[in-house]
Amino acid sequence: MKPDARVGEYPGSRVVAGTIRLPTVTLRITDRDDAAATMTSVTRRFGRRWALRGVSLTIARGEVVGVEGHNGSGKSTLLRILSTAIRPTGGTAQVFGEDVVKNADAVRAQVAFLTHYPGLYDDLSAEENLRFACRMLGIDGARIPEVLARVGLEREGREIVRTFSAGMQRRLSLARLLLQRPRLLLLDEPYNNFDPAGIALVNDVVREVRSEGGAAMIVLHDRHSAGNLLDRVATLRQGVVHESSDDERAPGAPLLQSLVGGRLT
Amino acid sequence: MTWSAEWRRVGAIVWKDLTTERRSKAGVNAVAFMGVLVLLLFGFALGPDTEALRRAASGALWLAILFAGVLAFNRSYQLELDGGALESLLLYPGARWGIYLGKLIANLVFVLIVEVVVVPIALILYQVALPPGWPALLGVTVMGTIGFVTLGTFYAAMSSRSRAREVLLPLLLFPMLVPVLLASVEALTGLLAGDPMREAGAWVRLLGAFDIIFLVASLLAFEYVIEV
Repeated sequence: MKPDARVGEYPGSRVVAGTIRLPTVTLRITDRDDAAATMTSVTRRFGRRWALRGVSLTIARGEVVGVEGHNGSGKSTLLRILSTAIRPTGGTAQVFGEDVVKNADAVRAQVAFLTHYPGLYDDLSAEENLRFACRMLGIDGARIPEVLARVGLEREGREIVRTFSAGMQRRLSLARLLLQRPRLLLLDEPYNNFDPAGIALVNDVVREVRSEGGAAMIVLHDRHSAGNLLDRVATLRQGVVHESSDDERAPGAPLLQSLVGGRLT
Repeated sequence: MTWSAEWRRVGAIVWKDLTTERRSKAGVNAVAFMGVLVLLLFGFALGPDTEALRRAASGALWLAILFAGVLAFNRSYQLELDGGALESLLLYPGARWGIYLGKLIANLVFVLIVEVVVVPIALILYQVALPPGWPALLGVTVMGTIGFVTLGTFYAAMSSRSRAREVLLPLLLFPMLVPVLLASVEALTGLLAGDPMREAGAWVRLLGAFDIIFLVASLLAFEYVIEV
C-alpha cells in the first residue's frame, strides 16, 4: 500500500498522513500531530439544551471539511468552539496542537472565522474597518488596498459601511479574514448573500489557505456552491456527528488503524 | 503579545469608539440632553429657594452625570452588538484587559465631553459661583468620573449579553457606585463651601482609593465577565 503523496511525506521520517486506496473503501489517516484541528468528545450546553453531545472530529492539514445538518443541529456551535468564541462544556478541542481553552490566544492567532453576522462597524468606512482590524491583529495596513481589490471593493473603500448591501458587507468581512493569513478557516454558511462571483471568491480563498498547508471547515446547507472543494462532509444531527462521506466504519478500518499507527477520520 | 502591541490595541479601540460616536452624533447630543433634563427636573423639584438649590447643586450634578452616563455605557456595547461585532472583537488575539481599557478610555472621554456641557449649566441653574479654588473642583469631578466610568464600563460589559441589559445595568451599577458618589458629593460640597471644616481632603483621598481599587479589580475580572 503506497500512501498518496497529496497529504505529505517528510524526508527521513515515516509517513505521518496519507490516503490509502483499497478496492472498496477510501480511508484518510491523520496522525494527531499532523492535525489542523481535533475535537474529542466535545459537548456544549446552552441552559438546559445540549447543542453538542460528544463530538469527536479531526481535520488534517490541507483538508477542507464540510459540515451539514438541520437548523439547531450544532453546526455553528462546533465552529464557535474551534474559534474560541465559546468554551466547550466538556471534552477537549485543539487547533494546531493548541488547546482552545488553555491557549485560546495562540488559537486566535491562527484561526479566521466568518460568522453569520458581518461583524463590522456601520459608521466606519470599509478602509477604516480594515485598518481597525490590522491594528487589533498587530499588522500594518499595507495590504488593505490589495485585499479590497481582491474582494471587488476597491472603489468603495472610503464609503461608510452603513450604505453597503448585505453582499458588499459579506465581501468586506471576507477581506478582513484575508488580512490575517489564517491557517484554519472557519466559515459559517459562507455562500449566503453572495452572487456567483462572490461564491467563486470564497472558494478561491479556501483553496489558497489549503495550498499553504492550512485547513478549512465550512458549515453549509447546499454542497453545490462548494463544487469539488470539499474533501469530506460530516453530518451533525442533534449534536452528534452521524456520518461522514469517508466511511470510517468500513470493515478492516480498526485493523488498518492499528497497522499504520495513525487515526482514521 | 508585547506591551506595546497591547497598547496599540487599546488605542485602536479608543479611536474606533470615538470615531463612531463622532459620526453618529446622536449619542453625545442625547446623553448631554438627558443630563440637562435631570438638572432641570431637580431644579423644579427643589423650588425657587436659592439656598436650597446651592446646597443640592453637587448632588444634583452627580445624579445628572450618573443617569446620562448609564445611557452612554449601554450605547458603548450596543455598537459592538449591532452586526455581531462583539464576537469579532473578542476573536482578535491579545489580552482581554486591552479591550476593557480601550472602552474605558473612550467612555471617559465621552462622559467628560458631556460634563463640559452639563457642569456650566448646573452652575447657572443652581446659582453657584465658582470659588477661588475651582481647579480642585475640577480635579474632584474628574476623579469621580474616573470611578464612575470604571464601574460603568465593567458592568455594561457584564450586562451586554442580556436581553434586559437596559434594566440590568442600573440595577448592578448603582449600588456599587455608592462609595464613589458619596465621596464625590461630599468633597464637592465641601470645596464649593470653601472647605470650612477641612474635610474635603479626606474625601478626595477616599475617592482616589476607590478609583484605584475599582480599576485594578475591573482589569483583572473583565476576562471572566466578557467570555461566554
